[in-house]
Amino acid sequence: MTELLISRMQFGVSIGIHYLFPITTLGLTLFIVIFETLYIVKRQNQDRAISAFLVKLLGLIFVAGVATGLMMPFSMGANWARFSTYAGAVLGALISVEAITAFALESAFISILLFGRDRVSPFVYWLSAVLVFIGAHLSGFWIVAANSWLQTPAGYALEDGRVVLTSLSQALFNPSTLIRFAHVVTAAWLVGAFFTAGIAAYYLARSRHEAFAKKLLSVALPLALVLAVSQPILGHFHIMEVLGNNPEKDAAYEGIFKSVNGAPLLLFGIPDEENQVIHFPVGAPYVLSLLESGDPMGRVKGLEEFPRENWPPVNVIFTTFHLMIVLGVVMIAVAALGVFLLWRQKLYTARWYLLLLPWLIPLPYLANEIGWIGTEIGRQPWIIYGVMRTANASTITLPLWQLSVSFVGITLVYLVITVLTFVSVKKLVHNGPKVG
Amino acid sequence: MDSSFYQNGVFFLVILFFYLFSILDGFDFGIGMMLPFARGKGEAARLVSHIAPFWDGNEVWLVIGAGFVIGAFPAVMGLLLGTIYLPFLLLIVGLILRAMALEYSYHDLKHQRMCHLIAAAGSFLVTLLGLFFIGTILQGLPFEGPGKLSSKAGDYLSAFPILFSLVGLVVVLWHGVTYALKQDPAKALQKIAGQVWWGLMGASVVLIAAWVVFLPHAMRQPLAWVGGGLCLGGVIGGRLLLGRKGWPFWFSCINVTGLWVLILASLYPVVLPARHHPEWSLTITSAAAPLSTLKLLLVMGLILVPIIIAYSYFTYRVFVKKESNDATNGHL
Repeated sequence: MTELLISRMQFGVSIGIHYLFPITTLGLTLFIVIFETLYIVKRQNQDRAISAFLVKLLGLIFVAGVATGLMMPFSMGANWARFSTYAGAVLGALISVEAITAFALESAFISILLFGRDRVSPFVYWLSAVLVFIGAHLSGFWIVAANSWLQTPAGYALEDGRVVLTSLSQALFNPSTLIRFAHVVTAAWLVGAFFTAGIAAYYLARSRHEAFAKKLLSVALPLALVLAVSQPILGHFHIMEVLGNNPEKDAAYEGIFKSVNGAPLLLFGIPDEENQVIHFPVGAPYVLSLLESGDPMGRVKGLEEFPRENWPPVNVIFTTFHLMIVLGVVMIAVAALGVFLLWRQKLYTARWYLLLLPWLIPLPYLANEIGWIGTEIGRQPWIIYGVMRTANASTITLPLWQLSVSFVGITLVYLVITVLTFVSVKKLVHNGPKVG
Repeated sequence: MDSSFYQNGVFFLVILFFYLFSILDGFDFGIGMMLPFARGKGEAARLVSHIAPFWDGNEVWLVIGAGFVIGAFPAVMGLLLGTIYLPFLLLIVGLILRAMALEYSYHDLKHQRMCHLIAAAGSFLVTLLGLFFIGTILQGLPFEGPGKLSSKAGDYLSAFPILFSLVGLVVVLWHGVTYALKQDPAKALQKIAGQVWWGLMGASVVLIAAWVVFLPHAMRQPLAWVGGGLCLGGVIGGRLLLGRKGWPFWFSCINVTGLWVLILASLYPVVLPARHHPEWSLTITSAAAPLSTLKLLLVMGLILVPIIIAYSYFTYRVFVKKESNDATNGHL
């Protein structure tokens, strides 16, 4: 059991840290494409300067993503041998297709972004930016599809004790892929928007690079608002998908132990799995029933209707889900305030807001991480929902000491990479964009 | 078409990916291992500038290859990584070190020397371990039963894999040296190349001898002699054309190609041979994933490999062409 736990912790830590980098990459490539496109249309050097600066940051983030990403396919084979042997025909296929269609594209053209500004025409440079954007997002799509397949498997059959792919399109566009991808990409762009807005505000508050920062902020803040507002809407559709496909997870998200007509939408509470109650519940009466069935008195299934051994850990996922929502609301408020100030032309003099904004860069990162923790722990006890239990997925031959060495070692390496990247990004930001 | 067509097709595709990885990322590792020995001011940075835009794209072939193994031969990945866990993990750490150190060597000029040393250590680790694993597979793995490998380190540390990794190290180093010569045929480098070549020649002789002694079954394949011939031709050709800019590199590519022909001749149609118990070996057929996945992977591979090669070639041209024009600028 300890072996299983260590393998889970190692995967959790490594993918949790790795994830910080690709979402930043997705966010940054969006902004790079926006400013490169503005540059190629309007030929204003300011736009090019912004893109050039973001490309520098992208270089650091991208390499950290590549370095930390190498562990992912390794872990699948090494720590989860029974799983990869069992489901390799689908999971391995999706990972291969990711590498061959997306990662290769991204890696080839990012070299032009990083080193090729003076070596190619503005059009080819713009095209490279677009291809890196496409590569990064395509890569995200395949990975999200692979994860979604674990949540809502489709397009497969079980033959000779292993998974067989019967339909690529069904496996790929399984019931949760598209909505999850929309939610995930929006969340990543939100990272990009807060990241760039935070940097711009940092300069403005110190009266540095003002033209540069004003331009960047005037794009980032409205975008942040649009994205932040779309997130609860996408989230609603996503949770409806979860309700349909992983009902016990949904009941745990919402904290419903006993089936009930006219269920409240809980905003706060402390779940007590033992006694199957929520302590100190604060909620909006009837709203959950209304959201889920369109009828305020609609029936909502509670966890009691599902076998206890199939429950996810209610406490963790109820809490993470609600924290994510809180973070989402805060982000909407922050972005709305910023856009309001921008509209009233008070933004650039609202020093308190400009000083605050850089400190809020972690918000979307936290929301991303917490959302995924809920999703992944919410899938437990399954590694493939309804098909394979996590307890049956790990490698049995690995001795405890090797797993411990690897967990400690990898955690240290990942922490060093994270700190190094953070410090270096901070230094680049502090040094500022090239003037002129 | 029957399933053996697809099984073989994907097997050759996987070999192609690892081959491309060794040809392309091979010179990155070779140059990485040269870094501690770079003398003059800015010399190491100049070497890094030859590979800076490329190493990441080159590494992609390894990721594609590994992905294809998980998809097409799922049991292979679980068996190898799940038993020889820490050494493979160390290889991953080597790749991580190389990636981070190369990137930071041009960001953090204050610690450039340290970055170069770490990049060298990472390159060395990956090369040595990667070759050791190939050698171990070639020799036959210490199976304890069907689908079960020995977990005793002593069962792995045998003569052929050790020889193979040491010899291969020289091949990779030579690959890097000749690549550096191709980009920048400086006098000093030519001299070093001349010295490294003798090591390469010696290593190649040892390698072929080791193959004959330890893998006699392989040498009964005519294909193995073709591979051996390519190796020797590549090695000798590189020496004869040493003064001719890109030529030694192209001959080094022939050398590496010969090695892969040898590897293929020794393995096929087995994926993981079992030493002492051939009946436990994993063959292309017994290790293969279900047909639907193989079809998907083969079709994807055949369509996309030429496309990737085409755009990778485009990016190479962008950087190589201009570099020769402004050869005086050390940095990119």
